Amino acid sequence: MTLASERLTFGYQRSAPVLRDVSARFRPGEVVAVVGPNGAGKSTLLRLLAGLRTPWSGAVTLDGEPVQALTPSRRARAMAYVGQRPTVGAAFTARQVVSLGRYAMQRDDQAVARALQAMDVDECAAAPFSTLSVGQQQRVSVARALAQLDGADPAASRCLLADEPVAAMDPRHALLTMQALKMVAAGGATVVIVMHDLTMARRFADAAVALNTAGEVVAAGPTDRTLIPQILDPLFEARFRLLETPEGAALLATLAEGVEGTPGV
Amino acid sequence: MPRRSLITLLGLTLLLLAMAALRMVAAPPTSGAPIFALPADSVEWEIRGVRVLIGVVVGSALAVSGVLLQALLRNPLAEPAILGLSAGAGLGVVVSIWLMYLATGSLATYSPPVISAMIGALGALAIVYALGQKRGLIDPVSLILVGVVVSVICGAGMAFFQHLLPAQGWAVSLQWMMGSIRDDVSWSRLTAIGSLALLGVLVGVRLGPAMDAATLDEDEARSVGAPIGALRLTLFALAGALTAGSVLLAGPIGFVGLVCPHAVRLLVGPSHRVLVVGSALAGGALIVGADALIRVIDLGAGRMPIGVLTALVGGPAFIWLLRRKETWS
Repeated sequence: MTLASERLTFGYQRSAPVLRDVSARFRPGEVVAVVGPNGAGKSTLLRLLAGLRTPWSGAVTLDGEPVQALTPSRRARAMAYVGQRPTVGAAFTARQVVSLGRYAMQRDDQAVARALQAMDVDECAAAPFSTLSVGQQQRVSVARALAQLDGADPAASRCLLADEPVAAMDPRHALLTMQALKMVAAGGATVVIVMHDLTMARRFADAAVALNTAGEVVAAGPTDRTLIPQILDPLFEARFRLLETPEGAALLATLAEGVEGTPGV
Repeated sequence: MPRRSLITLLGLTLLLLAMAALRMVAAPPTSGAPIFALPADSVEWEIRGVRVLIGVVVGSALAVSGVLLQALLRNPLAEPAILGLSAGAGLGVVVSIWLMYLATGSLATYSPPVISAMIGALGALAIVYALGQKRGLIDPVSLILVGVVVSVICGAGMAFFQHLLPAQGWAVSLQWMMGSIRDDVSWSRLTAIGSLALLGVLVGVRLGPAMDAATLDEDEARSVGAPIGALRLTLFALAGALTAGSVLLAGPIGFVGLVCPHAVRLLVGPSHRVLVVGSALAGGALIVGADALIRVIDLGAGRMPIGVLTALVGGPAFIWLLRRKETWS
């Protein structure tokens, strides 16, 4: 029961591939962080994994079956996707947006209530989505994905793919969200998260896939072997220090020598 | 269904019936006669009754078309007239009149075929859909601007083909340029377009949950299982067909597809199942009510086109929506 990409190559313009030959495995029960500089193709990889784009070459498979071959309904039961910028083009309330996650399934008010509670948005459930802050909207979007996977057959593969889901959240809700995603993985699902907060990734992810600006995988594996200064320094052209704290490892970034400051100004 | 939605739909049904009753008793203000009076004979009953039916069909078709277009284009300002569909349908009809004239040299008994309006409406929608995108995503502002330009071009096209017709053809083609319920609609045409409007409501109700899901970001909508490709194709064809049907019955009438869905949304919320039914009832009530009103208004220059009244109401409503921040967010 594995989500896998095999030698994926894809781009939006024929002359400029965004991802090149990307192969990676995402195992059930694991939280996998996808990291890399801006423009590395992290969001694109997530869309390909979710079956939302067709690769130029290579394939994404779920339990050996190409995700492109899954019917929309079957894919919806197996994979939930949270985009980078939550938008809803109608005046739906937060609760109604979360219930849209059940589109392909039986209506389940209990699942919606559980998801709202898990993401601490039950208090603003009756508010129009468009009136919420971006951080609250992100929590509602994650709640929608939780409601989508709620009640799925535990024996079947389930994946939750989220693109920078905590980017606009306050620290408390970012931690709550990561905990909730960790719980989803603990329940047997595969969780893949695009993230820039590398300390958060070290703390909550089991593994990481690092992409460079050419759209190639430069490292993949457990976070204690991938999210380390030896890999991160050249990847981000910055200097990282790994600090061991009682709460876990933290990664502190500074600009690399010769980059810091604004010489000549 | 929530109680509020049920009460609203009931209220809109009563409003439609009230407007129909009003139209049945509305009489032209001739000297000494009351402006509200029951029809004098069976012929008058039938004439007024048919106009009520046409008003219900036209209003429902335009309002439902507005709901479908707003869902298809993810744009709350989308509407058949603003996007150029109505003018496109009108152009299709006027071109068919011109072709008929070229072929036979006569315009006496010509009834424009449904396909002429369909081609015009769908052609206009295809152009707006293709040009209203930036980097593969629908851009709300570009969409409206392209729609306005397409509408102007189609209007100019209608004037051009009208110019090519002899003087008697001007009167024939003018009917298709101004929104007004026609008195020469055959029962077969009314039945066909009425069935289309009913189909529009039924399909709209059936697709309501998919349209709800399609309000999410496109990738998220696909991920929850919404069949976005098939949905867009269906909404595209249905909105074009409903607009074409309404144009064949009453010419281009603007803003019904904008005002009715937004008014109903304020009452029942954005859920498309209720919105489609409510908008159909509101659209019917608006056109039948407007037809009753123009019947009793006498400015000494004959019956005022309904399109004038709907534009006077819809134009300010459009500007209000345009200036409302929430509309775009």
